[in-house]
Amino acid sequence: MSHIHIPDGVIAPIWLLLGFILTGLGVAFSLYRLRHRDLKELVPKLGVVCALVLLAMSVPLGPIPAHLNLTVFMGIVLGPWLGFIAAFIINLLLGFVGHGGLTVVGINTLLIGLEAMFGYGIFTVLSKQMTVVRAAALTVILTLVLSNALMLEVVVFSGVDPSHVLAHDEHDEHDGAKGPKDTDKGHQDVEKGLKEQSLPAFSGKLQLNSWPTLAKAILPIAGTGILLETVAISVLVNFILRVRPDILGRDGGQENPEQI
Amino acid sequence: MDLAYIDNLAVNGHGPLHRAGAWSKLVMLAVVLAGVIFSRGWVPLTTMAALLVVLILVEGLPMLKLWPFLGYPVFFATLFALAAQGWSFLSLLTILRSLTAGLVLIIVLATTPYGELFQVLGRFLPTLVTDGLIMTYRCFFLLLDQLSNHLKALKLRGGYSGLAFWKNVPRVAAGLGIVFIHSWEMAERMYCIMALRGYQGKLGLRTASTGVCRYDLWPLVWGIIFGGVVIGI
Repeated sequence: MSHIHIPDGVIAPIWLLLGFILTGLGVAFSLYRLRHRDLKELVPKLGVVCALVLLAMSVPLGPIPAHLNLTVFMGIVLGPWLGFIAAFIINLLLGFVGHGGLTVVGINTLLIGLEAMFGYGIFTVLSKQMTVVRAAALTVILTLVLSNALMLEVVVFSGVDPSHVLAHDEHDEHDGAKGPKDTDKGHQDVEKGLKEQSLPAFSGKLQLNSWPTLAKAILPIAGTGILLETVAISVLVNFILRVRPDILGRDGGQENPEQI
Repeated sequence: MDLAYIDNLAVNGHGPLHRAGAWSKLVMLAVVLAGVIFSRGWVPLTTMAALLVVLILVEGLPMLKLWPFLGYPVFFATLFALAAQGWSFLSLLTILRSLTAGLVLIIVLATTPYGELFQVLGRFLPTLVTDGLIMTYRCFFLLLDQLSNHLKALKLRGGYSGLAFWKNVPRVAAGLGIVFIHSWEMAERMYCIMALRGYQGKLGLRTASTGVCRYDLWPLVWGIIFGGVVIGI
């Protein structure tokens, strides 16, 4: 649900680079946590779950162009570390089929990977307090609210030039000997810079007060998506619980939580 | 996006780019994407887009059938640009960037089988990720077959309607559940097969192109041309 459908050339390069660096670190750490696991066991499960998520994204649900994501389900089934790697694989493949840009793979992996990780963590805690299906439903709602908020921040801040934020520190250094009025002018310059900035890739005027406007525009779409995903994953979890409960770790078939 | 159609074009095509190695086409892709990100004006972007259209025609790729694949990136770029910039020259520039990026991606995908792409990526990515990519690609078509049969059965029995949105969701989810159980069991069988065949990592891919050949000059020359357009204009 929080996958950014932004093609190449829209987001400023600094954010793209940051996305890739953090994704690289995330994948490296996930591989480190999985170093003692058997590759023969991991690769088929990874392939099958990633393929299912890709399939879910390509099934239309009616007249509106909405689709399921199943990333929270992916986190519940694969665990946090394999879930993060699966998020990277899915986004790389989506980039190579034109569903979102290749340069935003890093940012999207962070969003969806964190969704899978949060999903696993919240589900592990909630499933001890209530029935599995209720825990799954609540997990989806909480995780998607968090990840949509994160996605909103990424979309808004990807239009802000960080050098204007850093300029705040420079002003403080230079204005150290001056009085409060000059410091206020420094603050005003930074605010102006944040409001009107020009980047090579994204030369636009993104006003800080667009946050509420953007949130209001996204809210109905995000709300519908969260409801959709909750119903779908609840039905899916309920079905799997009746047929193969070991997949959800009900028979101890999942990754040992102590290893997290 | 019809993966099977694109894959068919990539495997059965006979243009100069089809004979070039995946690595040289990825270099061309990287140059164009860098140009898309760092270009400041409409002239270099329009020139690159026009040259890419020329390349599509030279390669003999079905232009009319490939244009719909650009709809997705252009649509979302338009949404984002209009939301952030309104109707302005800058929003047109944003749309032009996504169009140019989409064109080069279409050219690379329609001339490079996915196996070759993964083979090149496998030199930079960890074993688990590369093997995961290959396995995902293979499983995607297997599950697609299963899911389409299931959806067909659902429609025939009146369980899937184009307009009954909220009824479709739980039914499709239950269908995904059946497909998931089958695929999970398939994964468990694969584990046994891989263990029997001595898998220790690195799924081998045998592809037609090996190393560097004279056909690699073609995409590299185009990459230099695109680089020149970005720097020079």
